[in-house]
Amino acid sequence: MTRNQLHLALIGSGGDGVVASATMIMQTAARMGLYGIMTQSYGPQIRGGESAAYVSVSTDPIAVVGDHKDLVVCFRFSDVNPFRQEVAMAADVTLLHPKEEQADLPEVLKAKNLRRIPVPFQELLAAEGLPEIAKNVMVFGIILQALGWQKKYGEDCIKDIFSRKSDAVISANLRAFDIGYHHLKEKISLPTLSPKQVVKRELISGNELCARSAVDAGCRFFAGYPITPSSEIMETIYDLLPKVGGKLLQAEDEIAAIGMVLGASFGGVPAMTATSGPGLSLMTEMMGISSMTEIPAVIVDCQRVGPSTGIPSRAEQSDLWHALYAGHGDAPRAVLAPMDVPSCHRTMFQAFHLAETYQLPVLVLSDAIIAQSQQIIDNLETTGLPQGKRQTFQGNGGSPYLRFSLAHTNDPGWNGVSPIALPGTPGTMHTIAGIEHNEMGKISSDAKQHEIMNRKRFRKLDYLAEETASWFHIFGNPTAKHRVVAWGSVASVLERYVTTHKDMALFVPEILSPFPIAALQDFLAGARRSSIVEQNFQGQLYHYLRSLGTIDGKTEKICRSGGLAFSNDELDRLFQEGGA
Amino acid sequence: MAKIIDIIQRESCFQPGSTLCAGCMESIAFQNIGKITDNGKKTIFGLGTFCGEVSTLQFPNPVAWGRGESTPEDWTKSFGILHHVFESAPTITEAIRDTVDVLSSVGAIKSDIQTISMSGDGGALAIGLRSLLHTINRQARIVSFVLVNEVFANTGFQYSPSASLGSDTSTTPATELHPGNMQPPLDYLGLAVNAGAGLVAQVSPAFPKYFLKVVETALECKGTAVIFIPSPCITGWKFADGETVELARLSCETGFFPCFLKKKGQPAEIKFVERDAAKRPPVEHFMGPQQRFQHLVRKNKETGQFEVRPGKEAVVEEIRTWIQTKLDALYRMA
Ligand SMILES: Cc1ncc(C[n+]2csc(CCOP(=O)(O)OP(=O)(O)O)c2C)c(N)n1
Ligand code: SF4
Repeated sequence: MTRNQLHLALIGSGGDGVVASATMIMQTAARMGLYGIMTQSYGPQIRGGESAAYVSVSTDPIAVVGDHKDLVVCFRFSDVNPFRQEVAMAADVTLLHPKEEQADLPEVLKAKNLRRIPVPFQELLAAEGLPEIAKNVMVFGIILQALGWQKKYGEDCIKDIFSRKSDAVISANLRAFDIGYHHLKEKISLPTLSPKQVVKRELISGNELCARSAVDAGCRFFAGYPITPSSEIMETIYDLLPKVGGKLLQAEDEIAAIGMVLGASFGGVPAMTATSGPGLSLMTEMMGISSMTEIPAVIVDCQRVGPSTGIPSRAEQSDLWHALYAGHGDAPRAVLAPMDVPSCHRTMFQAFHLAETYQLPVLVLSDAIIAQSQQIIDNLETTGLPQGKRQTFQGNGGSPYLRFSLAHTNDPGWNGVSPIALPGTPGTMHTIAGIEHNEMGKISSDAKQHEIMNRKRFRKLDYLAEETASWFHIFGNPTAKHRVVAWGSVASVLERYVTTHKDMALFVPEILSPFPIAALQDFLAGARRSSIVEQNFQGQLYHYLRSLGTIDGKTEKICRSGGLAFSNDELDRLFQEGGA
Repeated sequence: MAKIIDIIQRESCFQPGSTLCAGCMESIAFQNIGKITDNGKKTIFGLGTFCGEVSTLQFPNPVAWGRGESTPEDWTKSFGILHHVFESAPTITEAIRDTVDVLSSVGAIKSDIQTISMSGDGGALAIGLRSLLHTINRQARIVSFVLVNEVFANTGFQYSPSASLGSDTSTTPATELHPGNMQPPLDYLGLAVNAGAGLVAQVSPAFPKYFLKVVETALECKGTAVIFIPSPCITGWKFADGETVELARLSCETGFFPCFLKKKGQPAEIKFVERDAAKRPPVEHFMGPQQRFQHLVRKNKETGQFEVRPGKEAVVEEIRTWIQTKLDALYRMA
């Protein structure tokens, strides 16, 4: 059997350390030169509840965890139930479970050629006098042997993880690992993955990468408020900002957070915040101030199931309309979306580029899957990414400074942007106001003035749209009969799907607003069948594209609520049924 | 007021089956609150998003709060529960109170109903401070419990405005540059008192008799009663199993969380803690067993005693000063 991928699931409860063991496997894979992706699944409870970790490793880059598991470690059959909708077994799956497990095999763990390997987890630990806390390291050892990976890589990984601990801690963990590794006498019959190149790669989550790339793209101020699944952005950037002279503030709520971001940005510093649905709702009013006062701001929304508290730890694409339309008044903004972990890098550069260049709010729609997946990635290039800087006021030949200058209105090359004077620049004292204003920033209730200013603010979007017309990807054969459109983490599932469905092509926008309309029209031209696939109940992208006139009633709407990623089997079925 | 022995013997409406961490102070507090409120009256709870909500109302686990399989026959013991948004448990509970009052005044409800809000300290003191203070200012007749674990546990143990000086949290990590959180905590007791609360208390179930007495008094309060319950969080503070109650007790005795009771118009009562630092157990006793203070305090291998880490004296001194200042301010209300 030649295969280049392996799919693992670890299922347990708090205390089993499934996520820790899975992370060690990923770190080892990264050391060996393999690629991989890991997602976790858990309820809202903090400790003691069931949790699962899914790992896929591959010799080639991989962005979506595999549907059918080859190796499953289950610490208690009773823990499986919450995950029954999201794990499926390969026909010849191997199951490691506690030796003392008495319960009947749960339905989802059954498979045609199931191989069961009972492991005396507790006895192994007890025999060596190791504490419960060492269990995850021991399990890591067992899995490494099962996969036939070299022991040395595992040992290096452990030394690395515990590098700041005492020698005693390191040696106890090495012992736990050793016991695990030698428990199985040999590798179990799973395909061996040989890395194409032995090089150490990086393991990173979408949230961590968002934070890091934001700083690389020039972000120097962050204010936020914790919320699942976005909090790791704040936690990561906390470490990064002080090193580059930046600052972080944890605000008392999201309203204050975005207020701080606007204040910092007004002061001339590229600034951002990150949140999820409930927080975005609270930020909405001030997104309008950003549009109105033309203060750049980057807002990352790691979408989770909504409305209200929804399902905090699970992804959905239901904030699209919010991002596109929320707020009162005509408020220009740009909306971007990464499709997987590595693309967060490019998206954050794009976000700061657009915000700073066009002086408006830029929303980045990530989601719980992208945010919290850990992926092994190649080095990321920064050259070639857009890195526009804010146009600052450089003097005006003696005429007074006009913050919202319309001097170039009749110049067809003018993109609507007026230079910003940093506070304190001599001779540039001005007002900015959320109330409608004139060129000077003085407030005005003149209806004509309002129309003129709306034109100015939306003029920026015309030029922005021109610049971003090529911000999309096409996967598969562009002349295929069936053309599909998807965005965000759903797009990466479809990217995988089209590799095995040669009659399909996939269009993935990097920017959702302004949408690359012309490119989509080109893509759809000549299609026999077209579908919009998304993970929300109403078909938000579908209706948006219809409102833009880009698709007509013949295009299928394939959508369902979030909470669970699409699997290939489900996509087969959905495409067979055809959409609404 | 009921006799303590009678209260203890009541069946608590807070039933087993929550997914709170084993060793979480919140579940001890809820069990006690469940018994005290189970006084023949119906109770309606308005919950914000916090551990005490997320981990107690969860499907398909057996449900706590007296619902689920073990729902008592007697309707007075069953509960109305409303999980509201994160930021306004007190205001929604206030509206429930108003509704109950209107329905009572027209005779639609015959017996009195107790209205209680529950939030975490993040929910009540950061995003929800407006809600709390304005509810107090309107003298709404509710009891508002705030479970103070000094962090946003639900979202991964980030800093909350009640976080102790020097504590290591996910957003104020102890690093070479920073000794953990250095923002002095919000004076939430003072705020609640000055907003005009009918009763403000800080009590821990580690002092069970006093806890029962204060909560019973709060249920009788004619204005807003606000009760802060210091809640050692085994997962966030990282201490050993079995130390929850002991730490709660030490948190009071060392001055981190003094037991406090102030009824409107009366002098405050401060209990189980000495004003004179020399008579209090040293702060190291409370800090030592918790990993979140590990960068400041360590266990001396020879003596087995907790001691300040060399080089960290200044930070710990700042903590002592903060505690003394806080205690002096509370005593000025006594
Ligand atoms: C508007 C909004 N912002 C953020 C959140 C995310 N959130 C849910 S619970 C929580 C923290 C709760 O902290 P605390 O109130 O101290 O309770 P604990 O979790 O510590 O019990 C946060 C930030 C939310 N639900 N809604
Ligand atoms: S995380 Fe802390 S507060 Fe939350 S349930 Fe666990 S111990 Fe209690």
